[in-house]
Amino acid sequence: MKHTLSGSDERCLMKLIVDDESDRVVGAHMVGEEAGEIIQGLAIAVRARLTKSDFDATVGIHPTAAEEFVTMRSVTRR
Amino acid sequence: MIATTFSKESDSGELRLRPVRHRRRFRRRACCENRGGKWSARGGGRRSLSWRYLRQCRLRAEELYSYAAHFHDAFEDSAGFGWTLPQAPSFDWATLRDNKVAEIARLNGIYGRLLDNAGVTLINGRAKVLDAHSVEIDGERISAEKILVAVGGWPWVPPFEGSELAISSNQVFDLERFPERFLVLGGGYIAVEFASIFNGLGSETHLIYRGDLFLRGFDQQVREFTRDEMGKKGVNLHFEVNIERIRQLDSGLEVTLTNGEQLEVDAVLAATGRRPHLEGLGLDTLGVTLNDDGTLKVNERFETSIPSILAIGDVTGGPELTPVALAEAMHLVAHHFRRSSGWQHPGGARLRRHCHRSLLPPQYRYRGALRRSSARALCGDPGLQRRLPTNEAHSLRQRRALSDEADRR
Repeated sequence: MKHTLSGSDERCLMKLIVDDESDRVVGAHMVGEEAGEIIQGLAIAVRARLTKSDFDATVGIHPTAAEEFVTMRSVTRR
Repeated sequence: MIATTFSKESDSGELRLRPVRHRRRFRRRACCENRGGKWSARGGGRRSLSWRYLRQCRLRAEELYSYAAHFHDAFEDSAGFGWTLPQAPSFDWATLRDNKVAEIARLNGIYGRLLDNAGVTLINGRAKVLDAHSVEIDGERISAEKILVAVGGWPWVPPFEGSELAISSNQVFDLERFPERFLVLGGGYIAVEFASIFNGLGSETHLIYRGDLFLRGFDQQVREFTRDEMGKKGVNLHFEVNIERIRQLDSGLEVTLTNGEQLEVDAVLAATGRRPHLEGLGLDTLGVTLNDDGTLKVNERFETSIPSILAIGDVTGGPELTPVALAEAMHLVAHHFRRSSGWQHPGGARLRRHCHRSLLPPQYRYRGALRRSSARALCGDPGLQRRLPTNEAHSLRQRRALSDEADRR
């Protein structure tokens, strides 16, 4: 969001890996600003064996980059 | 509902000191620094401390330099938000370096006091393990029921002509002059971090890696994305090439690559991994069993093949990460010095699933809950999933540790 005004061409990557069978989120990746601060919470979710539906049912904190992790609706790869 | 609240206010970067508190459980304890003056000169402390704390200091330094690098883009980005700087910002290396030295000295002081308060006798000198229960430090023989080896790793530089002209991550923070032209050899996350930091600070930065893409073992998309973003930031990435030789010139270092290309730079950082720092410790003559990669072999109780000699951290191999070493320290203390708990270590000495962090390009940090094993392998290999530490006792243990800490406050 910051870069809409700064004009920077920096991009951010966020990624969840979900096991098809159990719907469990087995991994999370982020490359981007404050990734370090964001991923610790996700690590707890992964350790707690939460599912993608748990992520989907979580209300995002708006406006943040972190909320993208609970609003991922499209599958990019199987 | 009955709820328990945990809260904490602290300097957000304050380091975990719990393992030190646990040392109170030792009846007599001594801690020996095996690198002596070399570290104290570097760290700027009044006296040297154990490797473990200095390693944390190195991480702290890395974090500080990463922050410094962040400002570069912040200044640039601010224009779009209406800010005008009276003059172009400039960076002074000596200020950062000296402030860092002061901060590390402060930390050394804190650690020194913690050790003192915990009743630890600090002995500066080179230790040599003589037998299962004794250590010699500069001619003095000290015996102990248990000996813990936590010496970590030491930078390893591949052999090539002029490799002695390269520096390691141990020296990079203390360079006399800012390297306007900086070259990093290596493709691990440390190499990527340093290339990003120095690029952010304003160096013309090159990264040389022999493979086709850095960050081997990381998620493929993360690797490619990071490559593209670093390229945009202006880091010169050279893949599938290595250093042939380095020569000292009056104007800098002449680096010849295996493809014949020549670069002139002010500093070459070899971020080509660390090897267990066992040299001169005498463990080889005692016949302590090593793993294939030269690290100390330990069982799930962190015992080497000589049970009274324990080892934790990088010297035992596995994920070379501070939080892993800290967790191992806590587990070791719990097992060997808190007999009442009956606790079992989950999944052996290796904490496989951990949050992995890296100070990637200044703005680009990466944390993945998976490391080494790709997600595909994890999903497709039920055996691997079974090996993950999901032991209920483990989480109970963690909760107890938290409440213990709360009690102490």
